[in-house]
Amino acid sequence: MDNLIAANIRQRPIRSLVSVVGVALGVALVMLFTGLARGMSNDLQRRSQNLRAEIIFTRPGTLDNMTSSSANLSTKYVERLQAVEGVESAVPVIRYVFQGGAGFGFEQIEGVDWVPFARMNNMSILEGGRAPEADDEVVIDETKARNSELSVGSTVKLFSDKSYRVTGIYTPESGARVKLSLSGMQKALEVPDDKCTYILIKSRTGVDEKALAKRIDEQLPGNKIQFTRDVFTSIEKSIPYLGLFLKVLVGLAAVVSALVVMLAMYTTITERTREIGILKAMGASRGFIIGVIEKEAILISALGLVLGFTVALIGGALIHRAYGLVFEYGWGWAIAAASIGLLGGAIGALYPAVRAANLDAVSALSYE
Amino acid sequence: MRTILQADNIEKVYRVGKVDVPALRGVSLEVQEGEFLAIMGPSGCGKSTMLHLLGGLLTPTSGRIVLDDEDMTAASDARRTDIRRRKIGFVFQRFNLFPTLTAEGNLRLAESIHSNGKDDPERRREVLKLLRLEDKMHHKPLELSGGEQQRVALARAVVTRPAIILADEPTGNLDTENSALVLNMFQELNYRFNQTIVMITHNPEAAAMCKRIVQMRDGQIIEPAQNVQM
Repeated sequence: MDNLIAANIRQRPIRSLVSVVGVALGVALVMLFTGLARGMSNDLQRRSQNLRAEIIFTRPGTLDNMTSSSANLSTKYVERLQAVEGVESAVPVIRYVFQGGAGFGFEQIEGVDWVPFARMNNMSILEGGRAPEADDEVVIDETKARNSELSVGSTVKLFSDKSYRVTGIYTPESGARVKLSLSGMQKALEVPDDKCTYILIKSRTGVDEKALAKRIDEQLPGNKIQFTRDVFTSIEKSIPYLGLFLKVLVGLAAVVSALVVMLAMYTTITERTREIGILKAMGASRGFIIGVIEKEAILISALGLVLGFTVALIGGALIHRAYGLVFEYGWGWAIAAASIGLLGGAIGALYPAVRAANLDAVSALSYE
Repeated sequence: MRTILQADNIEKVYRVGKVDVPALRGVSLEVQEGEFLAIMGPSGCGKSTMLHLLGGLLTPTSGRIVLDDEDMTAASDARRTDIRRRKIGFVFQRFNLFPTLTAEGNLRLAESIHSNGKDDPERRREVLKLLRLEDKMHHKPLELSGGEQQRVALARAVVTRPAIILADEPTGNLDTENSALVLNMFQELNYRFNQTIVMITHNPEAAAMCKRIVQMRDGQIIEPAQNVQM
């Protein structure tokens, strides 16, 4: 029986290959999309973990999602925050989010006063560089320098066509990979020179964060106070409906896999009507016939899985090399993709298999 | 000798559109264990329908068929399939081998269906040797002559030790030389293994090699059956 299954697959190599590719496409799509979402999410979390500030102070509505770029918070709050008991330092930040240059995902730029920002977050400029001073100067992190092949003295284009000179490479990576001075960012975005997106607050050693947040809220009511760890939790939670989109994608991949296998197996059954008649004459039960067809479909799906995973791994690596996007594949989604491929194939083959098992033996034997 | 196959007053009516077309009109037949029986008759006389009914591929409109003490007519479709798997070997005019499998692969498939995956290499070798196919084991059907293909089909039918072989015009697609060869194989199987065989044929020379000939016409058996002098 196993030989029959392998022989059937070999008999029509092009059709088998098309079926395998169909399943592989669904699996690769699921893996690439979820790998990209997970990679970006983890990358963002890793970078946010390097922020030492525990609290983010902003206006209501700002930072509700990752793509927010507003700058509507007065920097005058910095002084008032520093006056709150338990606050060690407060640093204003402007965040600008834009679509990535490669057309994939999005990128961020931050405007900060480098010295207090670096002091707060224990960051430093690598040897040979310095902090941005002029409005057309930026510092970048090591990943940006490596992926974009930039070094001190290089020029980067931001805000479509404005040129900025790289004055330093900082470490560790934290938040946006490109940072301007606060004033440079305000000018670039044409916002008043007393506005920012949010203010990072670092508490004094031993101060309870929750108690501090409560004190800030009492003294500066009407603003939004969030813990840093809650803001940069997960890109899947930050981008509206991303989780739903991924689930819909997985569902579509399952439907595509099932349809491809169903179509392939349906034409196979029509072509092999006579052989099914022979099997019936030989005493093959309905279960045996369904088993032969299902095993063939599952073998095709398994080959599709292997190809799909391979395409996802190679595709992810190539996209990372070309565009710097981070792909991280999780076991959960990999198992989901594998289940989709196998279940889609098995379910897709079920109707043709049952149809074959129900064929009239005598009619099948006389099929031309 | 005991009766291995008994058909009592079998009728089969096909419904074609709104018209009932009788194919068999009260056929009764007894086949003894170890018998080599030919069923002859002109085209359309109901021979193939008879064979399909005896093999459980069709159910009669009325009448009763008992094979090796099992009532096929009272059995469900699944039960008839089971009886066919355990007790019947089919040989067809068009060989009906699986083209993607080798000769040995075709035999192994039959064993797989019959014994749920267990194979019997000893039996396979014995059958292939008897049918002079040892050197053709690894050939696919399209690499074999018509006579060789029919011998493989015969080997596939007997490898599972069925109680009866039902052959539908087994020499219909063969030339004289290969027909003689295949008929000799049938005869040898019948002689050496006491294999019961029911064979449909148009060919009087083929029928002459059987122990008994039954003549059919217009869906009925013409009495009396003719015993052949061996």
